[in-house]
Amino acid sequence: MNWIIALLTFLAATVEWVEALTIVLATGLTMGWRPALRGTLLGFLALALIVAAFGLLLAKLAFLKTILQLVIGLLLLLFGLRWVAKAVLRSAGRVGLHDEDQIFERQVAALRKLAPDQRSAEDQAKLAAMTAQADRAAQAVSFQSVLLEGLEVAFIVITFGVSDHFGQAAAHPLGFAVGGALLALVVVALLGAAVHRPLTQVPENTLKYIVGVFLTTFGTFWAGEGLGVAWPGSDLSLLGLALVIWLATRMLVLRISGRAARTA
Amino acid sequence: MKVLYNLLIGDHLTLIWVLVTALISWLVVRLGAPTLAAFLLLLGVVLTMINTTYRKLR
Repeated sequence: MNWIIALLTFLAATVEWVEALTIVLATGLTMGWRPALRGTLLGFLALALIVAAFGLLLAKLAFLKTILQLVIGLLLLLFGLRWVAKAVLRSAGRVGLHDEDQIFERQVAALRKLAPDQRSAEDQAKLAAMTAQADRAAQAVSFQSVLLEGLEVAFIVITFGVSDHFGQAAAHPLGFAVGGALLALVVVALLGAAVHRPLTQVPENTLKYIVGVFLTTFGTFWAGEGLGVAWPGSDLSLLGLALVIWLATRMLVLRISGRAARTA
Repeated sequence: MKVLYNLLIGDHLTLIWVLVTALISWLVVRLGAPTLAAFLLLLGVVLTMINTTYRKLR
């Protein structure tokens, strides 16, 4: 019976860790690995502190998960929508003229082009400040996803590890549930290490487009969970959400590029 | 705080659209139709996406 608990926890936790991995990979590939990994570590640290502080009492704090899902989901959604908008305009061959993000990116790129000895002290300070800003955003996104998914795993562990469903047949079920979740984490981390290199071969614009769709998809899903909506198919609905959002972006690209061609 | 606001949210109108969408979904959940709320949330997100993109185009 213990092995069934470990297996069930492993399977359920794998789904959650893969969701966190998707966001961390997306952040790392497009905004830099250092802040993405720092955010991941901080997320695990926060998770460890919450689990250590509340232990099994966490099961009674389901509202905490709901609030985090809602807040993190909405933040990710807002972040993702801006990425998608930029990606759509880029794909349609149009760039927002008054887009502050574009201006920010152009300024950073221009400063980075200068050799370090060509930069004035003011340029150096400006570049450092701008890089720090971008790093903070990347760190925040990966931190949020790891904390949220980690908390979901903690709830799964408690559900399987302390549940009465298995009656007296399981001895030390909590240990096996924790083992299943940790094994899932190791497997997903290895998967991430294996796929991150091939993903760097994907063209930058395509990657940013996909990341925008992913961030919007996960943001919508988590915000919905926090609001209490019922996603048909539960976690599987993520695929449907991604498809709908991707199709909507393709229609936008076609429409905007068609309009540009008509005015040219 | 302002820096983080700009980087994570940055766009007041998108924020308003998203919050209104979330509010409508929440109300529909409270009315007892959580699946309909899911579809409305997705619809709201897609409409917000269209609106945000066209505003950036101007």
